[in-house]
Amino acid sequence: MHSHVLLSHAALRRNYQDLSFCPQNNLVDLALSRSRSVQALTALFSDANLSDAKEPGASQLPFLQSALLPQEISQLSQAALFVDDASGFSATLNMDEHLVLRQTGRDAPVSALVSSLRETEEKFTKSGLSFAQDARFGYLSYRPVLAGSGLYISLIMHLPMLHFLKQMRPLTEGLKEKGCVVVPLAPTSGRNPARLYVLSNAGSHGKSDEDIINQVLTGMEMLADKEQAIREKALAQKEQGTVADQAWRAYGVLKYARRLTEHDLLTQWNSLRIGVMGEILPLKLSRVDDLLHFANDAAFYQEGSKANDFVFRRAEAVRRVLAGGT
Amino acid sequence: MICEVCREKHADIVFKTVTGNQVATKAMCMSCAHAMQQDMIKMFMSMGLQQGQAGAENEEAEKEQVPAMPRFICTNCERPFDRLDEHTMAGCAVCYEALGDELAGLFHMDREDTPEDHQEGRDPAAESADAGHEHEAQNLRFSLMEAVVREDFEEAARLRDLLAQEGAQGGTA
Repeated sequence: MHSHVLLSHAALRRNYQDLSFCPQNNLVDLALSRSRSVQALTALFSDANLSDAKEPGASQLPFLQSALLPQEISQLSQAALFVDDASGFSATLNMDEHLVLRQTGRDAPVSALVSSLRETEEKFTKSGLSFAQDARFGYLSYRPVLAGSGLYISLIMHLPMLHFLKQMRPLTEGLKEKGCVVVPLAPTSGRNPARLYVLSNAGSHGKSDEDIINQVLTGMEMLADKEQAIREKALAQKEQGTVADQAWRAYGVLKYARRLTEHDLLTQWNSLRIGVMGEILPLKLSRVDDLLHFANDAAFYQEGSKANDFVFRRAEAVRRVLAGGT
Repeated sequence: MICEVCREKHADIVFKTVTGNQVATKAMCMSCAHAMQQDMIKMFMSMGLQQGQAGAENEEAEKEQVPAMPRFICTNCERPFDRLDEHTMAGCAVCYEALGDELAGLFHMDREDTPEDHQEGRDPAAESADAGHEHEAQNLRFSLMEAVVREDFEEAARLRDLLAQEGAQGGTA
């Protein structure tokens, strides 16, 4: 996969034919939907972990994966997260749709993710569950504009130069014409310190899987080419440039800081990655990308740390990774 | 004649008020007449505004009495739909029956050529040329920003001139 892409994600959105759609206050239907999904998924992935969205910290996923979940999930009734770490498969229950099957990969081609997801879907439907479908519109969604095959591919991309030059808005218009949407990774806070964007297909109606894959990959190539062109020019005078200075400063902060908030880490990570991409810093790109694992609190929840210690644990984990540990 | 209001100044104006068969006259000086005129204007304005407010309230009350009917209602979950856009949410699978034709339009299903596509005077070649100019201009703007970022001001100036030239050509095309 392209070096600008940090994570690839494929999702299939499905709803049950006989139940009212989410979000609804019909708790009976929500409970029924959840029990059906859990029963079928557990039969397929016996080692997977099921967590209720309302449990504090229980539904925390690593930073990039969590960014693809619906916002405010902890307030949703009967919502749950089903994660199988070994295969990269996960499912969200009763969040926006009754069931969203997800396949995530860091280096895997998008087509492989989609194939894997389709195989899972095939096994799933053999359990006898029927999804809401219409001859004209395909699989039905709680949002009619999302009806169709239900396949949605998302790529998380690092685009610092396009962000800096304020080119994302005009490019968004161009991508819209090509059937793609691109949004900043953290739209709720109004900030995007890591300069990360999510590119995905706008709809799935009347399109084959191949069409959707090609559509998103075309959009990705367009963004990557633009980003690369500016990056090469900006880094042409790397010894004297401010880019090199910012990259080394970021390295210093991350290497020696004793306390790091999420925002601190994401801000410095952005500069660090620019430096590594531009061969200013002698670090492996995969090692830099590993740092995002500590951007949110998921890892610290899992190891049982106290919430007040997260900022210190984050700094410690980042220092360890930059020193060559894991 | 002395002013009948202030009883100090000389009266310059005589007001005659006719109410039914009765006629009353009042002699006033200029300043008292002016004060009276202002009071009357305020009184009439006040009456006029009150009438307007009352009218607006009546209209709102009428609107409340006749609720707007939604365009579509789902026969299963009874969810009302007034319009269909990207924010519209369906309550169940049956909602799609209510939204069917509207949704088909949104997805451009069975779309036929519109009369606008065949309007006289619309030259596809000219439209293509316009799009080409716009694309070229966008590329130039992008290159200009790149040049500014890397502080290559000579190149930026050259691109600025090209952009101005392109704009002039686009305008005449």
